[in-house]
Amino acid sequence: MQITIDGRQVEAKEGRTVLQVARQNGIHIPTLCYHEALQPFGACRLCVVEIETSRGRRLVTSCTHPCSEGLAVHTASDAVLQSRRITVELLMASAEHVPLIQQLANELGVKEPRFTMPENTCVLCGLCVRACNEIVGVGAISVINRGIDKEVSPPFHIASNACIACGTCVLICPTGAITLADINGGAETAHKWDSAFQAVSCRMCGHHSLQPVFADHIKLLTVDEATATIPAGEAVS
Amino acid sequence: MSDTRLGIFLCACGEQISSVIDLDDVKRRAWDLPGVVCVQQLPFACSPDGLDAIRETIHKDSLDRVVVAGCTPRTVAQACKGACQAAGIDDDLCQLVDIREGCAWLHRAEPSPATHKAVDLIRMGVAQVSLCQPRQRVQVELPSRALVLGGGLSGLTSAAILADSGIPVTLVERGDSLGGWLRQMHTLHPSPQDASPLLAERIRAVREHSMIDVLLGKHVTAISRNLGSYTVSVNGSAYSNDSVRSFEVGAIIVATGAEMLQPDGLYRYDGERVVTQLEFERELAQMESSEGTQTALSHVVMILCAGQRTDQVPYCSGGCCVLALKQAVEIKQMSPDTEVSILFRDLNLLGRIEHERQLLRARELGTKFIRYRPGEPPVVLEDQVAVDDQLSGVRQSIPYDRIVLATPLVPQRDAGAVAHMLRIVRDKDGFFPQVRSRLRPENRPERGIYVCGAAHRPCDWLEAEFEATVAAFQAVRHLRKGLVSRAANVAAIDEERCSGCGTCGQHCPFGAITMRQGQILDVAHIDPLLCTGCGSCVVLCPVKAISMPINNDMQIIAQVEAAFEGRSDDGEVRILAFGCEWSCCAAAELAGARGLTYPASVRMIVVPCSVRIDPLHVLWAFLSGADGVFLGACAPGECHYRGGNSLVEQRVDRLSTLLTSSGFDARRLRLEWITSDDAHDLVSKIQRFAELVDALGPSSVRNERLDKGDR
Repeated sequence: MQITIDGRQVEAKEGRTVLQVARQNGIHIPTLCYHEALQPFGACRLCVVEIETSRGRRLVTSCTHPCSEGLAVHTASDAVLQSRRITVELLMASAEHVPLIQQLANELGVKEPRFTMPENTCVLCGLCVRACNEIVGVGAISVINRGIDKEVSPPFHIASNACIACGTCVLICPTGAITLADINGGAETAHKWDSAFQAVSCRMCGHHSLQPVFADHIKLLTVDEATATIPAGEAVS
Repeated sequence: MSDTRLGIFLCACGEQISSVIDLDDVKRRAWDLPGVVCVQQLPFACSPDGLDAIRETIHKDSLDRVVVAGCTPRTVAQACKGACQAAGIDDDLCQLVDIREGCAWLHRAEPSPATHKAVDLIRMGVAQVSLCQPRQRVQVELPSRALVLGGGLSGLTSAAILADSGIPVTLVERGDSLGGWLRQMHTLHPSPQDASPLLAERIRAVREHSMIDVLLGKHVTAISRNLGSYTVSVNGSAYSNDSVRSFEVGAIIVATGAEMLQPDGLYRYDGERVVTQLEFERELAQMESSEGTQTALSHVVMILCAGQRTDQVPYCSGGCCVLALKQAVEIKQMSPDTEVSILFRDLNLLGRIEHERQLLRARELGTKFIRYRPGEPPVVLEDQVAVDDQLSGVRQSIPYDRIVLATPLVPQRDAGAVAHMLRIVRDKDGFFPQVRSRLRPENRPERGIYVCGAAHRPCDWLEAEFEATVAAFQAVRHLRKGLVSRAANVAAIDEERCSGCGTCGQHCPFGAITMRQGQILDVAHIDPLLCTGCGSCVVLCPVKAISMPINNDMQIIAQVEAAFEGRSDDGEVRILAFGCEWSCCAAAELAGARGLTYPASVRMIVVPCSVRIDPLHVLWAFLSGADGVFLGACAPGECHYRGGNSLVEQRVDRLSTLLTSSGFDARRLRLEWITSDDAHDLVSKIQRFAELVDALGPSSVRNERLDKGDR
């Protein structure tokens, strides 16, 4: 099928997104949360483009918008640039110190953000979470909470047992916000064979083991003193 | 190899790669590599269009091997290898070369050396993939039969679930009746409900099920592991060899339960006046059947925590406080005149409200509760019990005509044997531990072995039933797969070359190597389902009888040679790095992604684990003209392959001694511990090493070869 990007007729295959076709044809659209190896997410809103519809022009995220026959796309119209500038300003509110954000701000000509928020290197693009799910396949981290409390964390803020310490999240993070210690608890890095790991077995469901951190919260309910420390492996020959 | 048809795909990654590396130059030089029949540049190799292009070219040029030079395999390997597989090339014959994070991004400021490095990296990739053979996919059919060890409530529950799911079950019970613990319980505490109907129902369900084969009074004498299945030998008794029966199962449910500690010598235990809770439970049952009218007991004293939470049995058995309360209530209801005293350290009511209610009920009925201190247990005398009441501080003497001891549940006497047969590591109390795969993977039983009930730790019937259900469904899910397959890079032994020394078996961190009878002598055998491909045995084998399909010695040596092949004598030092893919390579990629840089004269070879680095590779690198060899490994204790890296330090030490004694400067060989997410650390370590090698200048071996006019 044929679509028009910034007045240029380009060939698009069935099922491609606007972003994929634009990139294939060397048309630059800035992205932050997009990665070729992952499913598109549409979180960062930097890749917005304007499309022409029967009811006028509309802003859509190019990473998730599928191509259709005759689609007309504008990647650098005033509305698009305005939207991107506001997005970058909002990103700068908490992550102005991140080189990548500074670079985006320079590209779009944003000087000073009008908003301020507590400094936070994580911009919640979700790349690490999706990489952990889709590439590594273990799902050790997820995006938790809502609104301004939203953050990336292993379940319950407790060092994750699922983490295999492969470092894919660290590598894929565009801002350098995540370290392995965030996921597996720092003190006890993954595969520390000689570590003594304390767990209190849950007497309520009888099945799971809890870390002592968590056990504190249910102390009122359980009267169990038995904490089982599993010793460094006694090898069975 | 003249008959290979190799295609190279260069990814420009928009402008991310092409802005630093001169891809046209790379393309020109890539044509000269052996076996290359196609070099194609793509704007984005990993985009759907790029992958389509790769597939089309594979068909058009009938390629049989592919090198994709683009970004790190860590993120895009799946996509690229998937495309090759779709086009009919085994994914092992598709090699990804990282020229983005590991080259273009690292050396943004030096386009020319970066281009050189990219060509070298591609040459190394080509050298490796030309020698690659598709690894054998180990596929094993699972026998559709499960073994349930133990005929208690857990065993009965899981056997019934397995059979209902259409899986034939063999249930082995060493005793002569089914039912286990529950047989001896007269009610299903905490509820006053009678235990026998539930148990009878469960036993009937198992007995009458056509798919369940119940073996009573039998012992499992041996479990031998084959690929994905277990051969179980069952015997009439543990010590005789008569009527041995063997069968194959695909899953084993361990429901061996626990036994009660026999309190011999404890609190004057005699089994008559001083009894255990279980014996008292039987007594209560008799009393109840005789309508409870002629209870001769006037003073019952229950001592909790008898023989537990001590040095010998440090844990709390969990169910005995509750059982004591239940018995106290029962006896009070039968004969309100009986004095019941409970001597306790702590009351563990398992956090359940019904147990709290039971406690209130016992109080209402007039049970006395006396707390004693851990260090001052009650003393049982001829006809009274002396105890220091912690609350009042007064020493009390309580007359008794029955003492009930709450003794703990301890692991079965033969739990050690079962653990040995199934290769499960027990925890320090002797139970089979909970699965915790990341922190203690050595405790994790293999797929196909599921532990439930009191074999884990003491539990009540509700917990046992719950765990049994979970274990049964896990086993069903496992067996329904029908096939287990492994595509890991598994080591294999050439039996003709094996000298049977057994070194590999001794050091395999996964216990995957066993000695088996060969034609003349015993030879080593590697279980492909257990091997993780760390490569430790390949290095250890003195006769080099072990090989791996990927990263075998030939491929690594080919890469070593390829790393320096294209270098003219430009006076620049040559450093070869061997990096563990989990730490050193991850950190190197991260360094690129974070905009750091290290000298472009370093070439890195990726190995699965630092334990795979053979001293031979290092020597070969020096002989091929390396001026320095850098080894990057995970820090001790952080190895992804069970501490294989501890061997590396020893090897490097010995190799350094050897190098020094033969007059070679051992400073040219450096081992460093690298953390995967600390790129700064890696960069500074490589930089320091490069500076040192720079100061040392070209190595003597290289100079000699130069004198001879050899490269």
